[in-house]
Amino acid sequence: MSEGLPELGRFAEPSIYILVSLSDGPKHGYAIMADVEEISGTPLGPGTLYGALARLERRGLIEALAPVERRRPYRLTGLGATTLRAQLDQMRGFTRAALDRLGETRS
Amino acid sequence: MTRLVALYPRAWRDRYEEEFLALLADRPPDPVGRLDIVRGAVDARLHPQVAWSPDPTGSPAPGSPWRVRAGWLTLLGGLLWIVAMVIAANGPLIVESWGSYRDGAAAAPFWSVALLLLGTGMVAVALDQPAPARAARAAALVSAVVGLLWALTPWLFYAGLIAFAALVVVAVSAWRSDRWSGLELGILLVGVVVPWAMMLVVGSGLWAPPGLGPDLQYIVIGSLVLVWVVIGASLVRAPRARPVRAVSPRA
Repeated sequence: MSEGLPELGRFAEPSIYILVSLSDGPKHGYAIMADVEEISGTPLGPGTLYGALARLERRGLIEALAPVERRRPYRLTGLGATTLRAQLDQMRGFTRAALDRLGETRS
Repeated sequence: MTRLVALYPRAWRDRYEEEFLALLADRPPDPVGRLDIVRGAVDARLHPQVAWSPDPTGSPAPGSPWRVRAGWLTLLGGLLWIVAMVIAANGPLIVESWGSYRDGAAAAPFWSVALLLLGTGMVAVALDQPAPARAARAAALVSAVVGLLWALTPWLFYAGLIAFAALVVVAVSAWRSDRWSGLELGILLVGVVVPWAMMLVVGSGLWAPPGLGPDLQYIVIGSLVLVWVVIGASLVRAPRARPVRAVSPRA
């Protein structure tokens, strides 16, 4: 089921931010936007946010909860947590390799 | 703000509109954010992630305004097509060494606008199909461009043939995606195939139906009006109820 996030094209990076944002508990759209801005330092546009949310929901990586007033919170699913962990491990491996090479070049 | 949200497809709005509007109320978008909404709407149309589901009460959803407008324009085009044929059939009789024909030049404006409006309806039918519908959209593009060429140069017989053949591709695609009924497809096929088959046979000189004079030629061409009628009517009527269908999980 997990297809990885790179295949989401321009929504891949916002999707990782959203998954990270939901990893400490459910949030609705506005809270996700604010959190992602804090994590990444880059604001997430509303169209991009919902484009990514729709893709993540369709793939079963997040799920919608009952709306509170008009705001619907989303939470990470088990599959979403596994996918996020795999992505972060991959990024960690890449970062480590890149830093090692950078160190070799400098020395 | 609701105008921007209205750019999103119906299925998307059914699912996300309420919370999306709440988000925009909490954090009104700046011009860049508005552009992002438009970009998101384009993406939602090109790469739908949400399938349209019929009303649980079973009542068909109303047609979207642009769809219905395109339908009425197409029907108006059909009327203009008939007007063009009546004018052409009453044009001056020209006798040549090889035979006679009616000069239909006076009908040209009506003919051109009718074909333009048919192109509008056909593009609407193509856009109304679930994405990607690449064959239908490519065929609609081909038909619209070649049809426009035929509108300006009616003597290019094969331009008209290509335009209507591409239109059949759009119609078959509409039927396959449940947008059209089998009856609608059947009417369109009859409306395209019979007149064009007669024109091809007669034009090739293989056979001429007895009594086919210069006036009857315009009756044969005029019978293509069935195409305007079926396309226009399919857009004006309420969309057919259809089951929730799987959407490709690809971005």
